Amino acid sequence: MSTRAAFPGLLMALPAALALLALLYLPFFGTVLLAFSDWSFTPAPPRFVGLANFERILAEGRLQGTLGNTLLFALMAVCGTLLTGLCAALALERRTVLNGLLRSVALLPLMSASVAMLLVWEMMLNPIVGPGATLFALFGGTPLHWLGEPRLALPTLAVIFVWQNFGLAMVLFLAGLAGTEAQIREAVRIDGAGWADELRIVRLPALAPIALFVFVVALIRALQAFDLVAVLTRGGPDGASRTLIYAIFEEAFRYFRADVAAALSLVFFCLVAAIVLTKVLVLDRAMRGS
Amino acid sequence: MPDLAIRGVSKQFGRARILDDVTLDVVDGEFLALLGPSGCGKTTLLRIVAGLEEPSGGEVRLGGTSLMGVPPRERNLAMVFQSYALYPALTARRNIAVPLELRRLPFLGRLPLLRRLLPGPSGRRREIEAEVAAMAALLHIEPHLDRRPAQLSGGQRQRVALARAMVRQPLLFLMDEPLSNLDAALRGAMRIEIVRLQRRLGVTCLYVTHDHAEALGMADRVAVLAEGRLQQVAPPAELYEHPANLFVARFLARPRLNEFPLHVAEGGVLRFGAHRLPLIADIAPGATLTLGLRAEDLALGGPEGPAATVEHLEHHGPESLVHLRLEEGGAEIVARLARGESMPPRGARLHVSPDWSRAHLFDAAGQAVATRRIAAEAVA
Repeated sequence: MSTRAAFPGLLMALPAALALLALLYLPFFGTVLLAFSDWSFTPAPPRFVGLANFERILAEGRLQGTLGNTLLFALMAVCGTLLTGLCAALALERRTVLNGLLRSVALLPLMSASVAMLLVWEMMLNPIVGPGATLFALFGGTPLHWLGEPRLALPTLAVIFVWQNFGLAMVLFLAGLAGTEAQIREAVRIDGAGWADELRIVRLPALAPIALFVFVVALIRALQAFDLVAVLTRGGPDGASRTLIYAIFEEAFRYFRADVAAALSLVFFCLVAAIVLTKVLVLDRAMRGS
Repeated sequence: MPDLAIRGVSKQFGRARILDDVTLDVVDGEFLALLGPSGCGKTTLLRIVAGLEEPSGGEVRLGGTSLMGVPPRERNLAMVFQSYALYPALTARRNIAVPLELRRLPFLGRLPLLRRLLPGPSGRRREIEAEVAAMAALLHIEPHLDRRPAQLSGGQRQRVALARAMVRQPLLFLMDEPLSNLDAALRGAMRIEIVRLQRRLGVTCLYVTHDHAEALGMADRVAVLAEGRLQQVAPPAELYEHPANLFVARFLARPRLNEFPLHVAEGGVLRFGAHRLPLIADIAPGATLTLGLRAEDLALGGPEGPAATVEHLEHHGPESLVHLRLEEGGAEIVARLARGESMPPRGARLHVSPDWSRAHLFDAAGQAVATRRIAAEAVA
């Protein structure tokens, strides 16, 4: 293409390019620079300190726990979303009026304002005034402190994440099921398959590429799940639900250590980059091969 | 004895009546073609036999036992679909093995990962592999067994679908327009191959098609279906020589049936306008009949018969079609000339002389009417 012909195209791309530059690339490079400096909201100009921030993070010894929380939460959240989304899609596959209604209900959490819903969850799980606690008390049990118990906090957050996101997975799986050819499903029934074999031979293979997509989307959403932690546990109790994304926020805006937060952001970036690379290089290739 | 008996089967979707009281028998080892135009209900009938559809009335029996309420997987029949319906995630080999695995292996042994760990049915598994290989050899698809359906050509997919249906030696073989997605040359070859396989395996076969050449060429008997009703069930030659009604005569005529309105005079004498036909029908005078004559049963250029003008000529190689317009009544008719017969030029005026032994008469309701030939001298 000649320069002359390219000009209008470049001109039209300019506003978006400027926005990307201002809001994405500049902050990104700023963060990278910050991660290797000692600036923390002070008037003094930043100084290059090499890997000092990373050494600080390692010396403080909280990174392993934070990374562990992040990965454990992501594992529970992603598996839960995949499984519940798949089960909901299989259960609501047939087009009936009731199923149409239930499909809409399953999508409601995704469409509601997240923080408002989380406040409702906080009330529901409250060990003193929550309805669950009242029910427990009625039968003489001791209500569980879902968000206050170190062993329970992270799984509880994962359950709420699944509640928020399984509708999206369900819709994608339903689309995949609608795409399977009716004759193939009839053929397998004539060949002697019951429900489980039909699922194994026809439906699950058809859903595999969708499951991969849901997996990646849910994983990225789970790694970025900030509002859950911020509203319900603030990383507690005793750091039991302190995930990487929340730790970055805490370092920057609670302890005012912008340089440390930037270094943690870089760790987070590497984690996400590794996941994306794995998807592109390993999973996509495997899917194409099959 | 796996005789298939379809007894008074009806099917309604809402107000629409798809099948109306269909009664049909397919005897052991027979190849029966279900022929009809699209929308006549033939595929619905096949799906009812397969158990994919419940009839609104009537019954289907196989080998003396009723199939009503029996799920498809327990009916011991196999089906070949128009779209082949191969399992896209499985190789051709696994596709063919599916019906055997589902019947002979326990559930855990069928799971791809577990079956390597379980010691149990390895003997049965080897048996299955051997049968799959034998069926693949019969259909000449051994080189493609490790490919997935997406990597196979249309003809290869068709063969895999046939192998999958035949491998477990079902009591009954159902085929729903299995050749309609193939190109013409391949279709011709597969016709012969399917019949050969069916005879060799001795499996009773119900074959749905809208292609009259396929039905006449492959089947032992043909059942013609129109608007949900069975029109005629007969061997191909009988269907062609003695169509039971106007619909069957029209459906089997190529390019189309020539139809002439006839008037019945005293003594069953038949008249087409001023012409008297050398045929007598035992029918009351005053009725109107339809005379049906196929293109191949008309001769041109004789000394007598209705006069017509040649309007258009079609050369097809082994045969030619001559389109004419009758002087009397102005109807368009078509005659077929064999290769070597002299072609009249366009615009020529000539006499049309039918082969009266091949004339078919139908009453006002379209049902065939018996006729007797009388000597030509009696006509004059």
